[in-house]
Amino acid sequence: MSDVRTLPRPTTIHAPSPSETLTVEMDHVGHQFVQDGGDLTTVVNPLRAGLQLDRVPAPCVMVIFGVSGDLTERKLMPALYDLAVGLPLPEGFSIVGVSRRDWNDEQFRAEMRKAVAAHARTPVTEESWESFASGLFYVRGSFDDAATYTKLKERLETVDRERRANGNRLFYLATPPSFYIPIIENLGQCGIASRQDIYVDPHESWNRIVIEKPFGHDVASAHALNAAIATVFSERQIYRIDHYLGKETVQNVLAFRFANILFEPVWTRHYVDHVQITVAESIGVENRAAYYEEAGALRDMVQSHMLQLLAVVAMEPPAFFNGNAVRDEKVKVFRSVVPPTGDDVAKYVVRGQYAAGFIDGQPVPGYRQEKGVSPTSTTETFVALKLGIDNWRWADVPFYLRTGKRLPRRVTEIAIEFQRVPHLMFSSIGKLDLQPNVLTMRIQPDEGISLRFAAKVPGASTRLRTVRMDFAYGAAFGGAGADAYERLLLDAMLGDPTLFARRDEVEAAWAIVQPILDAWADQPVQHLPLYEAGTWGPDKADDLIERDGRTWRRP
Amino acid sequence: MTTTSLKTVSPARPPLTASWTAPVLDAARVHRELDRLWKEWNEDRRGEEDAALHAYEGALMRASTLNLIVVVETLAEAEEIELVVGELIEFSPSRTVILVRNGRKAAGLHIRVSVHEHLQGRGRPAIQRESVTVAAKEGSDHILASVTTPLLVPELPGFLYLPRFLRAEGPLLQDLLRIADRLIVDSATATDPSRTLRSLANLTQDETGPRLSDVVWTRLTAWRQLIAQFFDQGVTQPCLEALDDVEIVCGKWDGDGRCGLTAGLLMAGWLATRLGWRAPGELVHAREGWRLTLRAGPRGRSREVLLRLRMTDHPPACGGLSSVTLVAGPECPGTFRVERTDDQAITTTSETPTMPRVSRLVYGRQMDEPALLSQELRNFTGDPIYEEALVFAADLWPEGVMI
Ligand SMILES: NC(=O)c1ccc[n+]([C@@H]2O[C@H](COP(=O)([O-])OP(=O)(O)OC[C@H]3O[C@@H](n4cnc5c(N)ncnc54)[C@H](OP(=O)(O)O)[C@@H]3O)[C@@H](O)[C@H]2O)c1
Repeated sequence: MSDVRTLPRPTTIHAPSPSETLTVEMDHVGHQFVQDGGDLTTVVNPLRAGLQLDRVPAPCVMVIFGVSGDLTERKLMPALYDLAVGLPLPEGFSIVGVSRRDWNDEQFRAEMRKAVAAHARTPVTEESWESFASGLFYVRGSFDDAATYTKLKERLETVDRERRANGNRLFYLATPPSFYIPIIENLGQCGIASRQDIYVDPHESWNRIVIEKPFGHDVASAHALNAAIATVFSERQIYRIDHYLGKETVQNVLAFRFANILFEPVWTRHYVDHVQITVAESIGVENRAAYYEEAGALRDMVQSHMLQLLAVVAMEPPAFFNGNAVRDEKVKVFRSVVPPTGDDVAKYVVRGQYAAGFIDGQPVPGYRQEKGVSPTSTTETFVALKLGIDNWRWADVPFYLRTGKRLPRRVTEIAIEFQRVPHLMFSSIGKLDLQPNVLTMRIQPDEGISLRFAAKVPGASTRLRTVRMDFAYGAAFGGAGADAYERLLLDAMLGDPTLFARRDEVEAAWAIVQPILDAWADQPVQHLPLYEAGTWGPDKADDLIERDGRTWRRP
Repeated sequence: MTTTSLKTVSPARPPLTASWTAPVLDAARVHRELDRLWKEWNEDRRGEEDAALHAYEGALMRASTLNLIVVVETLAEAEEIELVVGELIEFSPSRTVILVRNGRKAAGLHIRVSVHEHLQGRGRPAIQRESVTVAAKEGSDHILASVTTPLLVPELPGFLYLPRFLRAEGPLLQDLLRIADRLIVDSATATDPSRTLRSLANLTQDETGPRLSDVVWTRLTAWRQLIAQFFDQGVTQPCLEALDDVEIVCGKWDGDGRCGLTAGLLMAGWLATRLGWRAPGELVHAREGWRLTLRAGPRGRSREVLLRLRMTDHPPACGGLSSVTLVAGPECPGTFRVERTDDQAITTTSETPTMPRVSRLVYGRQMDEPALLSQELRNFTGDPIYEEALVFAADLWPEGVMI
């Protein structure tokens, strides 16, 4: 017993073995692994031992560009407040906001308080707010004005000194995409940010940048954007956020696939007939018309969220759950996707636009009648498409993707429909309307997994029925997990890039949709197929799948 | 039916219950009754007009997570436990087996089974669970031990919860330790801290027994986190080697029969084992509480660390810690303090000659019994850091000194 008492303080620093790099930030003797783009360095704080469940980043200043915008108000500030008053954020964590609004620090704090009170999970009390607000600072200026950055630099130096942030900085671009490049160039020019190729000394300060989607609007602009960022930041400093990946249930797809032996053997072309991925929204364009008019559903949903979902269903098992291992596998899937090109685009991709209709019993206007939308707009609010993945696992298995606004309900799900049994011995007993097995992973709302299979109806005669077995995630584990932004902001501060998109991943995803964008540009349409709000899209979408003898699910 | 905030669960309907008395336990009857009650529940539901409940067509699987076994003395305590289990948010047990040691005057067993459903709000699926209470006459421990196994859901881990650890010591505990995977205790209820901590420390030495956890330790997680944070930075880390004064202030008995002393001892044990401090003996009573000079650093070149432990009746600290103050001496001076300022918040303050004073408040609500238990049920493995701290803490408090 006495040697337990005199346990010496660990002084050696081990290079961790690969398995320790999974999600473990601290081993049980207190080595803290700082993961940065796949590199690991260790810091020793003996008191950290065993506290691995709660991951704590080093003190830092987060610089939010576009701090008066909608994203900051609804997502970032509430998530940061929840993190700060919960335990994960360190003492001295500070935020410097930049935008054009004529605010001083006090006004900025007052605005942020409103945002936090309206959207955060944790209640706002006088004391907790004071403590959080003492780390909020504001710099007024335009993104294209060099003077903004001089002011910002001075401000950061003061904050560093007063709040001991050690020079660690997380830049967050919550601005219109057209400002990404000017901001990055200015950060580089005035020496606020610096390139860090190899991250070695854990006591040296770090800087990282988080970029919101859209990452470009086509292959060329994505390349250009990535190249411009790369002149100032190295890839390991860049965190491209796709909040879908921060969702518990998307991560749960990986757990479901790779922590169970049962499903993986049938997860192939030998047993799977086809896969359907649905991301349906019941809302319309809301107040994002300016952005949406330029983007459309293909860019807004398919290129990012839906291809991410496709990747987690289709990828091969990564060796580790860490940044590069997971992202390598996703890139491999993207590179195996065969997108339709040229004339095939019209055959395999259907687009549509919502017309007036009813949602939840309420009349809603059509897309062209929405505020900020051109009355002759040809922007698609719905896309359905069929993709193939040319590799050993998935050859000849179609992936049907569909997304749209103003569909009957909000639902995101992935459904794997299996093949029929090779011989049905029960067919002698008359017509059997048996459906094939379907495994459905619901991402939102009511997360869960369900399996459809055949069962005998009780009774003396042999009658079969299709039944559904439903596992509701929330019924096993109650309570709400952290919000996706909380998870991702914390990961970025900790230097864990696993759930962020890498450069090659983004470019490979654009390469999938580019031929479709090209074909649409070559053959502009005068009239998009319209669908009534509150329906599952234009009739042509049904034709797309029915041609193959299959039907869309009604989720 | 009203929807509730995500953080709370509320019963969808009062539970359905069946109970009977029998000379022996018929496990098949227990299972038959549970099946019957679920059937009845689902039939009643069909008539209801609640969208949240109808969101799922088809069979909703009763998702199974774990078995919880609780030992209590009286039927009143059993009722209290039912309420606590009903409030578990994150990891609700699929089946709770409550053993009542002194629940009957006559011989034989009184058995009660019930099915419960709790809504989580916002259209989320309801949590379903079952409980089985078996009450026996005082002195029937061997009977209670033998009826437990057949009542558990097979293949699920078993968590044994003993809110009053010492009272449960004896043959029943020995039997239950063989079937449980985890033992959860609450050392804050201990009136004899030395005996309690020593018995617990002995349990941790048994490699084959269940892994042990103490809700008092779980409450310390936030404190440990905040103290560790002080020393994450390169500039403050050397202060750890220069700490020479530690003051831990713990709360006196609260209205629920919990005292902060074991929390204070475990905090001291944690700091000492992490930082390699040695105790030459036990705490001694002094004017302002208890004190002991520890040795730190390698033998031959060691230095002294004064450990002081004090009790307070400052209300928010009751049943737990009030403050921890670490002072580092001349080699690398600094003061680091974590203090519970009220029921909802903890404040940290740190100051060194080269760095300005920084103070911060975190939202750290005192965790109540359901919150603590729900934390415990998440962990399936033991915590070696706790076990080391416990062994140290057990030897700090003088034997026979009751609180
Ligand atoms: N909102 C969402 O839910 C959401 C979701 C996913 C991705 N995103 C992405 O996140 C980014 C931000 O979106 P948002 O909705 O927050 O945009 P927003 O509401 O339009 O906000 C834009 C921000 O940029 C500032 N700004 C614009 N031009 C400026 C200039 N020349 N100089 C200084 N500041 C300038 C604005 O400041 P002033 O108001 O002071 O002019 C405002 O703070 C976009 O890239 C968007 O695509 C947003």
